[in-house]
Amino acid sequence: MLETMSQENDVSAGPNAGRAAAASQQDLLERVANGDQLAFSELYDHISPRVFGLIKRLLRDHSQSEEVTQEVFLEIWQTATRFDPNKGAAATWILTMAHRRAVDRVRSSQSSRNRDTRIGIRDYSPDYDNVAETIEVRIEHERVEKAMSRLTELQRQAVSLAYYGGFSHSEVAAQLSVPIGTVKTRLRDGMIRLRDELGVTS
Amino acid sequence: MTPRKHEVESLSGAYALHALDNDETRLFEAHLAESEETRNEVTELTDTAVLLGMAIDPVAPPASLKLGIMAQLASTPQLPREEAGRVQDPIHPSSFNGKAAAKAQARWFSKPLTALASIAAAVILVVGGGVIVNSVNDNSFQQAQANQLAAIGSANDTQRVDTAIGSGGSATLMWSQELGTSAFIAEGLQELASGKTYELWYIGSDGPRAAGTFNIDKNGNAWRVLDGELQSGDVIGVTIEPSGGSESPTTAPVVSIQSA
Repeated sequence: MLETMSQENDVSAGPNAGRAAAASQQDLLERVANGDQLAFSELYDHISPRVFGLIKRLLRDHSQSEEVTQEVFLEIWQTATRFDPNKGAAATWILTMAHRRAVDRVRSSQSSRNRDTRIGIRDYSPDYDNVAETIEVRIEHERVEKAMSRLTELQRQAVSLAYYGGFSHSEVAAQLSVPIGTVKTRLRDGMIRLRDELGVTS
Repeated sequence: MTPRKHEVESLSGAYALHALDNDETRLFEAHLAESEETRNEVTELTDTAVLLGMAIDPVAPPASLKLGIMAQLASTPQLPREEAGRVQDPIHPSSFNGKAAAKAQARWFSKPLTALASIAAAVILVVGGGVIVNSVNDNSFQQAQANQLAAIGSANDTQRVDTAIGSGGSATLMWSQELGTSAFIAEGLQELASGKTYELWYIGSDGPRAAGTFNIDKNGNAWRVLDGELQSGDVIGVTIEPSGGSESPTTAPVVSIQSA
């Protein structure tokens, strides 16, 4: 999200397809910033399955996921004028926003909180059994799975609970029965390890 | 490096994962503003977090969600562009809170909406990727329909039923009991012979009540907010009628949907 992010770091598509799709998402976002509704429609078609899939992973509940997806897309519409391609890819901007919105909803919704806690931690690793997955998604699955396998058990659990479960670090600490300071450190060194394994550079 | 600074820096992973509480987020962002090194790290870890998101299976949201969102664009102001040289929040370029946003809103609302923008908003509504131009070409009608649709989509009690159409395609009924309004959305409807139109009906205990006509676009898509008021328990039906519509249905429904 910062000025140092390069185009090589683009995450909007798989390693093969990448550049063209990303460029067009960026172009679309530029047009959206000018109030172009057709561009917004096209951008929605590109990215909404990613956004909805991510939000649904965190929230589980279908109608809440739809509500948050709507919030995200209206925020994209409102703030496209502030998107700066020099600061990162369009998909990164959008998925980061979607994750933050989903986390906000998880935290503000006590019922989903209770449900999540009951489900427990094993539910939060990415699953790989979806028949509808595309080659592109499978490649991302495999990359992430492989990178995750390089983490220690505690790092992996902490990162998974935080990202896929939307848990705060204090909740992660409670779930894993470790001190909060340990969780902070594991989240950081776990993410740094993943960054290196996934080849993310600024 | 002071121990305290070191402690704040250690929050970069949790920050990138949105795992900090509000106070810690503020503390960390204050630190970020001062440390380029931490900013770079957070950029990388944020990008890494996005890759975790890319490993999740995409799930297509229902077509009605897009319709609801598109219908709200016209009434949703966009932030003005940043003035050149002005420093903005480096982490949440999207944040829409506080004084700056209030100022931005005020600036926006001091400008009249251009007629063109509102007409375009009303005419261009989209289902499943196809652009729909509604059958009635009166712009004020379009605008009213779009506004009503947006109201249904954002009501507290919005409900929705999706159903397959026997002769092909699918239909969605969205409604709000609170507002007493409903919208019919269809994809892949059969093309009609000239001189024919689709007509909507409320089918309640007192028999069918006409709820307006619509035509499809070239892809067989259509949507329409129903005339009149939805009564609890009404079935919504669609029949094929002579152009201009009938006072009561003359054919069997192509599709019927039970509202709650």
